[in-house]
Amino acid sequence: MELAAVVMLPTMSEPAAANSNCAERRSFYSSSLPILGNALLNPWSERVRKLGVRNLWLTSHSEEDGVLLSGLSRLAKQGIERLLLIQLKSYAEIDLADLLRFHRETRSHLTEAHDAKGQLGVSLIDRNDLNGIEKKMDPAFATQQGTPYSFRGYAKRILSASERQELVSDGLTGVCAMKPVGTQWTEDVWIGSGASIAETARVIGPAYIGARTVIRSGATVGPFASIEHGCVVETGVTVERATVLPRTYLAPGILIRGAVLNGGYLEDLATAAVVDLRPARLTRDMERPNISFLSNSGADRLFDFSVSSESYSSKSWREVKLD
Amino acid sequence: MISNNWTVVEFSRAVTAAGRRLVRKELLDGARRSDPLIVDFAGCATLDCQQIELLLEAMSHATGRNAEVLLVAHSRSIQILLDVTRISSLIPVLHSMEEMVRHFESVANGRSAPLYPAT
Repeated sequence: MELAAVVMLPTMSEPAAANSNCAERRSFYSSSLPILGNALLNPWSERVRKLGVRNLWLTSHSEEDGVLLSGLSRLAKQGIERLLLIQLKSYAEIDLADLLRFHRETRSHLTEAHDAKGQLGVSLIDRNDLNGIEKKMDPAFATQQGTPYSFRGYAKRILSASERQELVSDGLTGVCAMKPVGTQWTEDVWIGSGASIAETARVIGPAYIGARTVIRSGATVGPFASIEHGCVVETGVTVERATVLPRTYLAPGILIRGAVLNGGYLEDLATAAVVDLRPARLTRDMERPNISFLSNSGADRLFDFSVSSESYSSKSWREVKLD
Repeated sequence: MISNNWTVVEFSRAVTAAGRRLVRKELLDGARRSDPLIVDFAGCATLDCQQIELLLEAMSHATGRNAEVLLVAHSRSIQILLDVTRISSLIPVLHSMEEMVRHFESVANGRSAPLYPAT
């Protein structure tokens, strides 16, 4: 095996909500949550597949335990020539073949993809360097020792709710290659399969309505709004320049503007303030199926956007066939 | 000189059923007077559905009588809740009591127009 690919899934670290029990809330930033119906993992896995790599390793990313390092060491012992390491914290339209070519041409032991803002979390490491892998995980070390691969294409880190919303806007307006999953209804409105929109509801593009989402009468969605799958938007609700994450219920008449809404919690994009809307019964998290991410057997499940974000904290490795 | 003949209702007391009854009475009484009614959310970390219902009832009562009502949110959380419920599109919301005092001074000195009704 010449090249192995590992995707490190982020562990859950949630910002403190001003008036909430943090343990109960889902992360706004998790890369497991869909963006315009797309699982963030999918474009990376597709790029890896195009390199001819047929096995993708998934693991949770925790530098505090030895799971990651021991897993990488095990891979090194399997005779791979080099390792492609992807930290799932960004959407970047990197040509991995070009990155690989650059890595070979520069004869670097470690190549790290950068854009103008710094590291993108995509590295190529040669087998000989895998023994000291823990040093490679240190960004300071990588800057000093690794060869930077300068990427000038589209890249967006997804470390905050506002960055997530920027990617949504870019996807809706065609700034990036990420397309909303669904049928293009008008020039800038996409509707997912099984979505239901009342006749008197208004959808103002650019906008995205995810699969099986229900938009009731008199509701207004858009512009720059994304409502992910399985949501219910009640009568008279307005969602504008905002994202509603999967399986969220919005009570009649409310106004969601400039925010990311995740179940019972709202994050204001301008101030990053997080508010628990559950006591007011304005929104809530609808029942979610209990799907374990790393314990499922089929690759189709692994790349399904409905996987539970909580299960990303699982400290295990999983191999996925990309054929 | 500015008039300080306004009624301030401390909304943080509307936690228990008895507190809500008391606040409701003060809100409805305040809406009947000609003086501005100030609803002060100091000490409120959030609002539950009963408090929002109470607020909506009082606001409906006040706007029906064309009473001057101002809300003082104090926190970003309360401001967001007032935005999400669209109450802030009906009633002006200020951030602090100091801002409220400055507003009345400014109106009294003719430097700015009254906020009510909200635009």
